[in-house]
Amino acid sequence: MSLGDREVRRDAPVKVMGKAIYPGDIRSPDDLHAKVVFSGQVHAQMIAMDLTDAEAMPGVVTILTAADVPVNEYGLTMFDQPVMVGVGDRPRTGVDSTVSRWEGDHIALVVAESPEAALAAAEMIDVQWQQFPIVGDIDAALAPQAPLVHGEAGSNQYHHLKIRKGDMGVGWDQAAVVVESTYEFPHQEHAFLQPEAAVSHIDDSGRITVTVAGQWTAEDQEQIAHALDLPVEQVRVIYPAIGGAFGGREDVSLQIVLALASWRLRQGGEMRPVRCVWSREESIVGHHKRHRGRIRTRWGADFEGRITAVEADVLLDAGAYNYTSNKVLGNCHLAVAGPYVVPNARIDSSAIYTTTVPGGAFRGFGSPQGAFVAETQMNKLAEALGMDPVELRRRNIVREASVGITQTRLPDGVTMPEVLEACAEASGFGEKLADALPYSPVATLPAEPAALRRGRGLGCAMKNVGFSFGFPERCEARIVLHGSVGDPVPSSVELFHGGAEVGQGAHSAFLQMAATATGVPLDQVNGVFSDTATSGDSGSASASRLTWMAGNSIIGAAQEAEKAWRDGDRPAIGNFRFVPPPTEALDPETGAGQPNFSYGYVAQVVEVTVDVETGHIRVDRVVSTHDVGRSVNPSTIEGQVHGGVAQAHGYAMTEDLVVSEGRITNPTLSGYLMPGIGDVPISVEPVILELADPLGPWGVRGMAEMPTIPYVPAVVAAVHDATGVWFDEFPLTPSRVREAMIAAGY
Amino acid sequence: MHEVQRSGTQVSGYVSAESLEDAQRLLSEAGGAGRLIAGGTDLLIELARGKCSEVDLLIDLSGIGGLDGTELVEGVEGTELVLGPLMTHAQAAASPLVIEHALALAQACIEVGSPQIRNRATIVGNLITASPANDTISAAFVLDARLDILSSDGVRSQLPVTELYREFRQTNLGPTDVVCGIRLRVPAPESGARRASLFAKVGLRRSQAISVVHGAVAARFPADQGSVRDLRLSLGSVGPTVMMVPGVRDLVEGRELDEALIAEVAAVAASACSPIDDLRATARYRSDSVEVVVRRMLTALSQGREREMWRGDSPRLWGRVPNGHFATSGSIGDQTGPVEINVKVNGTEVVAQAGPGETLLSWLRGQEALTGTKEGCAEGECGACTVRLDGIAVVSCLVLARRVHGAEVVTIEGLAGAEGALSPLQASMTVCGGVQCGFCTPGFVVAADTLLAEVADPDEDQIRAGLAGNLCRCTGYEPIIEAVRSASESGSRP
Repeated sequence: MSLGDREVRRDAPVKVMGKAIYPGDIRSPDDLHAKVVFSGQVHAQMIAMDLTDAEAMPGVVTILTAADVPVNEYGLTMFDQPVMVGVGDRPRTGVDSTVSRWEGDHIALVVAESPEAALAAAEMIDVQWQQFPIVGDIDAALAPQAPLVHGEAGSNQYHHLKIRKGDMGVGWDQAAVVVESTYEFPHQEHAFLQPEAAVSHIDDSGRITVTVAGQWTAEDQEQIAHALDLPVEQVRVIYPAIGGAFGGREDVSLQIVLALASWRLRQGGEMRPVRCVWSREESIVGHHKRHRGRIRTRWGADFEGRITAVEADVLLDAGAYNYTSNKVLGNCHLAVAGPYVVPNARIDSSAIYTTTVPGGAFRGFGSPQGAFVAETQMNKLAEALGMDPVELRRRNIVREASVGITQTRLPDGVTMPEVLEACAEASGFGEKLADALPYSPVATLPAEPAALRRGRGLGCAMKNVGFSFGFPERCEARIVLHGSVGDPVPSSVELFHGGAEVGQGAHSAFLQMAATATGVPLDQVNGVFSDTATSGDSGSASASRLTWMAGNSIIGAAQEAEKAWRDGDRPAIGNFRFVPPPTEALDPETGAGQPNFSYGYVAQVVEVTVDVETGHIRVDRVVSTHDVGRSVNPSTIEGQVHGGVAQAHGYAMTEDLVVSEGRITNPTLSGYLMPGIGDVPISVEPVILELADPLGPWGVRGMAEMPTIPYVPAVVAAVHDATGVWFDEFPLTPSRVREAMIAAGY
Repeated sequence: MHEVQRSGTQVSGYVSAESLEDAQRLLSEAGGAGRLIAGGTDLLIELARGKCSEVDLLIDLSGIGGLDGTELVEGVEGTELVLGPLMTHAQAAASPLVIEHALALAQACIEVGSPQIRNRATIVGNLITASPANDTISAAFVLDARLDILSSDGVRSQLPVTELYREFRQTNLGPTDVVCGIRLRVPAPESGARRASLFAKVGLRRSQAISVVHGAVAARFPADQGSVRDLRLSLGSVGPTVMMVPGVRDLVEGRELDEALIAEVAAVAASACSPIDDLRATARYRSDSVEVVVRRMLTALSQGREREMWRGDSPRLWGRVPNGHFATSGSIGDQTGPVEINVKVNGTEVVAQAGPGETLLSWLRGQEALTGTKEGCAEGECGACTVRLDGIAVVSCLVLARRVHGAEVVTIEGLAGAEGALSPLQASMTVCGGVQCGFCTPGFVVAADTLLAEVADPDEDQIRAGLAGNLCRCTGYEPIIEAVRSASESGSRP
């Protein structure tokens, strides 16, 4: 048995020795070096581009532009982005590919004999731009006569979702208390430690082969094939070690342009590999962020604390291109009503194009923003009613057979009540808050006890596991059982799987599941992963879905392989494509439908100490409670909790990406402050429940995003408990907190 | 092209100075194109960002021996504590003389950057970079520090630090002046009197934080209990240069530093500064913080609590190297273009080319194919490129490859146990869940290995202090702390 054991992850030994190979570590003496040239233009149309001087620079091999891209468009969910902005290309959609809509749009790829030569040539590219007005934020985009970021979309407000449930008139009539607020939330940068890097070459079978850090090999392969107008079989994508992702590698970065380079170079007889490594600044400028946005909302509840009405207007800043904004918006649209039974609701959610860095996938995928709003509204309702926040939730929380905000019964296995109760109990929520050690935000000075306030706050949330809204979910696995004809059981197992190991421990979890599914000891189970030449379509390492989906695919493949084994095949091969129950797009007018097949449930209690004179906040304790259905590896699960809380902590406290006039003004790790070892909460206590998901493999439930979702509102509630001040925006920087304390008379 | 993509300033020459006089001569000969480099933790970032485009020759002081110590000397005006021009922040914070006579400076030093940065960055460098956010300046102000300066033709002079700054990031040093040391007065002990200084910093993170406000205070409390004399108060990050708060000495001289007087001084300080809004805080917040911090500093000082938070056993990541002293390395003459350097890497002598502005990180990954050392930021923030130089942990992105000529470098590839087995620390990292994506892992392992060599049994505060220069985005750090604890002396005991 391996499932549930604290196995050491398979990749840990090579990683601690520095021997794991990431894309930027792949080198050969004959490498060519590429520079992806960003436009640096927030909103401007290219009039002309002159490569004469650049091409004459020493060491230049080729310079590729929009005109070299066979189908100059891409996008994970919509083809609304040119591979390169430029003139003389061949787009298929109506997107005007001569316009740079964001400072990180690509305009050229310079390939040269050295990185220095590529850069020097890139600096010699001469471009003439016609400046367009900057559409710097949501307000600018929605202003009358605002310039259109995408003419073909007809409006900057390009994607709109609705919920129309019950009767709002009745809901407000029944309300004894009403809480109305407008919330603002910032961008968040993924800041995975490994900036984007890739190598492209032509493999022995003549395939364009891109070795890169991504989240979904098959999707990268398709995107490349589409832009190059090639059959997918002529493209191969390989993931070596990946230095973190968190959603930030969901969309392509270097994949298409490097594949393009190899393909064009081969046409000229040049077969050398092409490599490219982004700097940290290029990484921060060049990939999407968690969406910033604004949500105005109004909630009503009766005297017993039962929610009577929820209305909300959600605006997410999608930035220059859609990326996954339409899907993130969908999640936020559901999350804004919280994990509660809401009889009457009106919710309108829109994604807005602006000429800023695109919004996209980031751990939680719209749910952290929605949960910030929903949970803060609940905590404000509790205050307005004079009711304990846990008790208020008990009276509203979704349970087995509850009808969700989309007017359909939630998938079976709703464990939100159990998670809430376990969190309340483990944290001692009903008891007096224990003393904490003195806190001084100024390291050399003793604490000022008179300035310290302590408080405690609660947040809870549910989020889908797996892709939503009718997307054709699937996951493929192949299992090969080795042994001799006379052997009663296999001697060893090989698993072929495409699922991406982005750091979360997926591959080791796959192997534990394969060992369990086949009954072969873990040390005889090996994997071949993340190479489109050998593994099938796994779907993405996202949406807390990978262990859940891969586990089901592995069970299926193991069953197929065992059948072949019983039939005498040696080796015995099992291929399986797992398909979960279908989901539905929401009704365009009412939002009715069954958007998801499984959910994860989380509750967190946070204890803080606030120095009201300096505005600094220390998080003393976090109790993070999760139903994981069934632990595949408890160490890995705890790692997800610690890491997810730390990311959420940065989001809540210090991570302040400043986007001004369309430009990121702090694209460095010295300017964008993620928490260090001295900044994270003093204590994080994972509380793990194992209440089986009826559809999960062995009952497994997705969990990796959950720790990031209710943390911000739990902190906000704790700060309110400590100081009496609500924060409707964050991060809770000392400046912001102190200004509010001054306003509150501290 | 985007501005973050533009190429940095490429220098064509690098020379290691044999002495300060030699450095002064080289600087004079180079005209405006020469630039002294010591720790390099500011300069290499500026060059990479294309600033100081006039610089074409780097004159490296950091290989000169004997310039990173402290000594007490008898001067005309009494006893002085002299700090060598190459004294690093880490060395100052560990120096018993500095801690005894200039606590504010020791406190300022340990609040700068991270252990790896403090192991290279010199105090003189922090002073002359002249950013109003530079922490040691406010401490040097209240300690009445003076700089020894060597000018052209061998002329030596002294300049009070309070007269060093002209405007934002501008000093009054001449283009060929070389700072040879820092002098702090050590007044003769006075029976029953107490002299005290204290530094304070408001930042947005515990480590690796640029000051939002910093300040220092020094004063004398004579034997006639209750009164205060010679109060000096400085503030930084609240104007174009670090400033002495005017008028406070006269305001408090001979009076009892009680709550009311402290509030008065705090109000004077807040009204004396002229902060601006920036990425880190609003001007209003800064003024408000000045009031709070000055009040807390004076309260602590008046109560004799200035040492209360001081931990003398904070790890420095020196491993077993005494005094954080880099071994004197081989020198390289003034040659343009790449030269061959001899370096002992992971115990093996290697000879390979290094360009004049090339970083150790780039050299290790490129020339030596030691790709375990990672680049995560190229500005000393993330610690993924941590290596040991002469036994001391540094960030290899902010060390020049040529600086390590004749030196010894240990990378992650050199840390495995016997026959390539995992070291106890590496093993505990795997068992405790200290590894997820693994990209930060080599830097953490090198830093933690150095920490354990220095402190066999670190407590949690020491582990956090020792690993403050390494960022991780996956684990939330707690499993890494657990791994270090379990690999430590008490953790590995059966």
